[in-house]
Amino acid sequence: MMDAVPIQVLLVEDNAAYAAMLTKEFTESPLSSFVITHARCLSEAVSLIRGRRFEAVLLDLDLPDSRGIATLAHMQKEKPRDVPIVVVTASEDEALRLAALQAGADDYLVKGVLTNDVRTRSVRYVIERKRASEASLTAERRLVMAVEAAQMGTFDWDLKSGKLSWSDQCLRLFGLTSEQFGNTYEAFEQLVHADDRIELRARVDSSLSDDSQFRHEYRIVWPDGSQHWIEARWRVFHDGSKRPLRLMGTALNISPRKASERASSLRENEMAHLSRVATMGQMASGLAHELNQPLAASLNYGTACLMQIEALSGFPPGIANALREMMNETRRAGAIIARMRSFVAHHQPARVSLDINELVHESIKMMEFNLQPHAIRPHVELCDHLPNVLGDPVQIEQVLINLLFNGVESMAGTTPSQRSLIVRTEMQQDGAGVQVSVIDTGIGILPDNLNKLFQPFFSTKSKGLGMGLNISRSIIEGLGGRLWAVANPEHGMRFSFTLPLAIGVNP
Amino acid sequence: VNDDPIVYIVDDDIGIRKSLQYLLESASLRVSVHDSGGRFFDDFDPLRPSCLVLDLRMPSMSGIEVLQRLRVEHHEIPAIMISGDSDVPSAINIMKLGAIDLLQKPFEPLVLLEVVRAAMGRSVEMHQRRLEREKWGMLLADLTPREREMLALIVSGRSSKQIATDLNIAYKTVTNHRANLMAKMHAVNAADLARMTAIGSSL
Repeated sequence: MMDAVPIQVLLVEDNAAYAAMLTKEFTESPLSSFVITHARCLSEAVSLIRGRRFEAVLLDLDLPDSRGIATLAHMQKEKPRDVPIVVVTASEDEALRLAALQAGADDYLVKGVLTNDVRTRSVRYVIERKRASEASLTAERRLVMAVEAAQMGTFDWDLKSGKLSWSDQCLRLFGLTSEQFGNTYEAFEQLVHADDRIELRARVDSSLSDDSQFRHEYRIVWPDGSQHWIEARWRVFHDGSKRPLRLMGTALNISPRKASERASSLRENEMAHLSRVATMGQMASGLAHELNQPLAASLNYGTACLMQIEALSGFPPGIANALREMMNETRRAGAIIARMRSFVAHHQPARVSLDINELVHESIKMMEFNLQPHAIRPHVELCDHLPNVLGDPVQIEQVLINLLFNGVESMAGTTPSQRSLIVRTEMQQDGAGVQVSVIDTGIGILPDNLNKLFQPFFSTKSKGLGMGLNISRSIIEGLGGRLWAVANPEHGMRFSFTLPLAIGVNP
Repeated sequence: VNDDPIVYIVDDDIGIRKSLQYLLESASLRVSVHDSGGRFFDDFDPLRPSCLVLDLRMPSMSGIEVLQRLRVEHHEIPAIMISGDSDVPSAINIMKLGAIDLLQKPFEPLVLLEVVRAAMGRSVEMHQRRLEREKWGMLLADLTPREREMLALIVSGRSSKQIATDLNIAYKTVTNHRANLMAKMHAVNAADLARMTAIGSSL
């Protein structure tokens, strides 16, 4: 097969006759088309190779201006790395051929008469081999670069000898220099946080009989005493009888990620705590309301009985007394509830002038991480230039978050493309206040349940406590507004609340 | 027409409704019990002396909304608000809307009874006044033009002698008219007549 583009070969040979013979042999080769450029000495060859591109160099080592292996070394320095050198030697000089190969020659040609295109064939092979090895070298270099860029350490544990080799980056991850590392698993284990050693070892042990990829996060302690998080990924290679040979993998410093994970979980906890405290307070108020009803009823019955007993003559006085005691106990229960309420209600709602649109944005921001998994982005339709409202920002946010939550949860069973959550602010129709609506396209509420919606402990959610809307309503009413629910004509619900204007209140 | 005083109880909590009924009936009061504002209005008889024991927080129509509707429809019924919440945000509003008292659940039943009795007394009095107004208004409407002229002068404090001069008629004629007027209006003296005229013409 003829190449479309001839192969450019630099022939460095001081023997003119031999050069002519080789040139003829190559240019007439039926296998490939070659163009031979002939240099008679090393300096001529060097200037040629600096000037243009060759795909192979045929190099005679004994030249007028250089001799032996030194010729090869000089040429290797001058030529591009991916250009193969084929050394031309006398057929009897076995030692030199070997020395040349060890010094980096890609192949050799034997002088003398050979048939069947042996030489041209071998030059072609050399060029192809060089190309292939260059390509794999490039791929390997890219991988190394990626590993370095990711500040990824690599390790290689020879399970036969027990030697554990680390890359320089791996040493840096552990805060060590190569002299400080003992190159055994035991030496490595000493660097692992004492609390994480057993688990890590168990993980490594379980990976030895497996050929899938393993991943484990653990803490290490640097020589300076500081703690760091490492994520290791590895794979075990086995021999033909499935005995583990090597364990190779990468190590990554994940301390920054761990820190941000911890920060967000702290924030979540804090939020959860705040909302629990608020819920406790509101629950106490909901409970107080619920318990005060039966207590009031008990006192009514007791009083009625007492009045009738006292109207009768000859009734044993003990019974009337017992009845009075019963009622006193009922009163005591009422007093306990009142005290509990005043205890948790120490947070007096603030009455400050607020920009409701700002609160809407804040609330959505606070809910961000709850919204993302549901693929819901609330759509805001905020009326510009709304007057400020009067209320407690914490309480109003609590209501907004509760309504947003309900909206999100009501859409959990719907297809994502159908989900839409709108938050709207507008002036109340009579101008007396501002109205805020949260509109979802969720599963909605059965008409029968619409009335029960705001009752304490009513919930359509399997895990719902049933206090959210009850609390929200009591908050809004406490601020002088109203909270109500309407079923949308198509899908879902609209929850709206109003807040009074902050007219005459300094912002 | 049923003139027996009645206490209307409106509360969505059945325990409160039943216990209040038992309490008030034990105190010999007649009661009518409803679980919502709407049902109360269906049953409400404005011509009957009554008072209202009203829960503040109810699902369909709140206690405040009941008070507002009574006011819009010009019904003067004394109302006692009862509430399960200790922080009543709108206590002042409730009183402004005409509630005569606001009791926190659990309230002292004897206190409630006292307030209810006072409210009933007030309602009976208002009822009495309304009946008088109606009666005297009717009597006034029956007077002849001459009697009405005479009435205006008497009420303005003129003596019979002065009236005789004012109208240029005999003194005897004036005293006859005056006696007729008193009899027709069932009045005992001029002051009585003046009061009846004031109330009866205020319809």
